[in-house]
Amino acid sequence: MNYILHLLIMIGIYMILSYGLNLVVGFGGLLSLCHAVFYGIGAYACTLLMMKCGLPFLPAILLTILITGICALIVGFPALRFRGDSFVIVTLGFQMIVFTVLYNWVDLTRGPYGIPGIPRPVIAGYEFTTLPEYLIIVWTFLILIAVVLFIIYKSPFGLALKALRDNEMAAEGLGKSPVHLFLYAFVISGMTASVAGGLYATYVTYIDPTSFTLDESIFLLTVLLVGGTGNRIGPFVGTVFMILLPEALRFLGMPDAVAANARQMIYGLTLILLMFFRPQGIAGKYMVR
Amino acid sequence: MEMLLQIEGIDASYGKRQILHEISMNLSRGEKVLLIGPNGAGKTTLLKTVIGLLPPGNGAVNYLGEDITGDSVRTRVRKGISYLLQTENIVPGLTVEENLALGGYFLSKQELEKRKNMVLDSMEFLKPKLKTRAGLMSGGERQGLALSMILMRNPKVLLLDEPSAGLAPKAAKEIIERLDKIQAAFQVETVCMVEHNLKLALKWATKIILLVQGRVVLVSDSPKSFIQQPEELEKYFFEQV
Ligand SMILES: Nc1ncnc2c1ncn2[C@@H]1O[C@H](COP(=O)(O)OP(=O)(O)OP(=O)(O)O)[C@@H](O)[C@H]1O
Ligand SMILES: [Mg+2]
Repeated sequence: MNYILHLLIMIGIYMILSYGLNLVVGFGGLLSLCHAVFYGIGAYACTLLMMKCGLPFLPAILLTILITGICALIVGFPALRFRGDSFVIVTLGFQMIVFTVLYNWVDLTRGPYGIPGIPRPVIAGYEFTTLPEYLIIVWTFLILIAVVLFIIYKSPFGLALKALRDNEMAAEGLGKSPVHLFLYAFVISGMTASVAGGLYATYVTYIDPTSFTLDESIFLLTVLLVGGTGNRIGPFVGTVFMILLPEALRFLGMPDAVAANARQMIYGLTLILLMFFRPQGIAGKYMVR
Repeated sequence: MEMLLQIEGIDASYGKRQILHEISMNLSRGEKVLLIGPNGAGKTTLLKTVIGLLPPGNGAVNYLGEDITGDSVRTRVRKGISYLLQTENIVPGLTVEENLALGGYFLSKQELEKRKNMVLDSMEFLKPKLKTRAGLMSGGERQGLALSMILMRNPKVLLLDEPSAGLAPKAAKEIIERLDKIQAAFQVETVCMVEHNLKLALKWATKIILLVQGRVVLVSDSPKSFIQQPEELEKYFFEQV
């Protein structure tokens, strides 16, 4: 039972991440390789605000969102002036820089030792510690964020993003400013990821930089590519599939050491097969357009 | 006649290559201007600088007596200038309805609905296709949609870059003949159109501007006089400037 609750919590956290990333990748059509950075900044900012500044969870998470939004703005502006391949490269560079900072700024982040003993969220005097409690808090945030994102997906802004993705010149000729709209999408996406970061940190109560590597960014992209982008169902399908797949392997009786490697190979194989048979992703046909 | 749009000594370049050389022209209220010239003359480039997709190196664009040279495309669209791109002027992945909504970006829900119905009344053929993906429509329908999209924001000035491009003669005729009706129905004050089909366009226009190698070589207020011999205009096309 605990095992299932744990999976549901992780699915919730990853759904927040993939729904946010969907705005940039699915709607904007921009391949971002630094989503894990915002996830990481969120985790560290929330942790430090709670542990060093003594802030309660809710104010800490709100400040975290703000801080991450500013970071996204600072990176997004230069990254988005040149879209296409150079955007990918700039996000890759950012991913590498932030990882290095998290790893080496020992005074602040304790570097490779990580930060243990992160307090659990306390909201209105109630501490969320057990798995069912944690499930509730994660899914509450997920629902709040999903509602906001779904409104954005359907809004004129979401439509304009799709238009820029499909035909930038036409959209620009109608008066849509690509740099501005992409920047908003990038910032919103970064902010939602930071919430996932805060939830993750207070859930596992220990963080270190290895959770927020380039591998993680690629994994998040894979989730979207597998599930299908630019709609509401894709991120859900992708997350469930990618999180449950390794667990399924375990049930097949594979020893953990073998399963870990097999998992990477199966992820890779899944991607290749998808590109052949369903380039739009598993749920890509339910385009909410 | 009241001056609506004034273009003063515009130079424009792509990178190091200068395309437009000191272009000046005026669009007054009620005028229907036909912009012609050989392929590569810079007609599209000129319209792009007017709408703000390409910043001019020199010169100014004035609209209703106000300098708009530094304005973004978005601001210009809001002020009432709309531009129909020569190619790929719709978003193929979105439905017809969504494309229209895109044209009416940031209108309130009711306004959007009102405007959409107005546009659909003059583009009847789009009505049954609202839920169709725009990319699945024929060339003629796409041009009609593209024109509808730029009408969504209540423009005063229309800049049309070959609205009949790629259309069969009959469809080309229809779209150009429809322009006057549209102009009246939507209270568009002036239209500047690039068109290679001179026979059709000369009947429509009240003024011709001839562009060759990025320079204005002829301005005439009597387009009708060329209807019998459009070759007279075309011979300029091959002139060295
Ligand atoms: N994006 C661009 N980058 C570089 N050069 C360009 C670009 N667009 C156009 N040109 C060049 O600028 C010149 C003018 O092009 P423009 O598109 O304005 O011509 P046009 O008069 O509209 O021609 P057409 O009748 O074929 O549409 C051409 O020589 C063209 O090669
Ligand atoms: Mg042209």
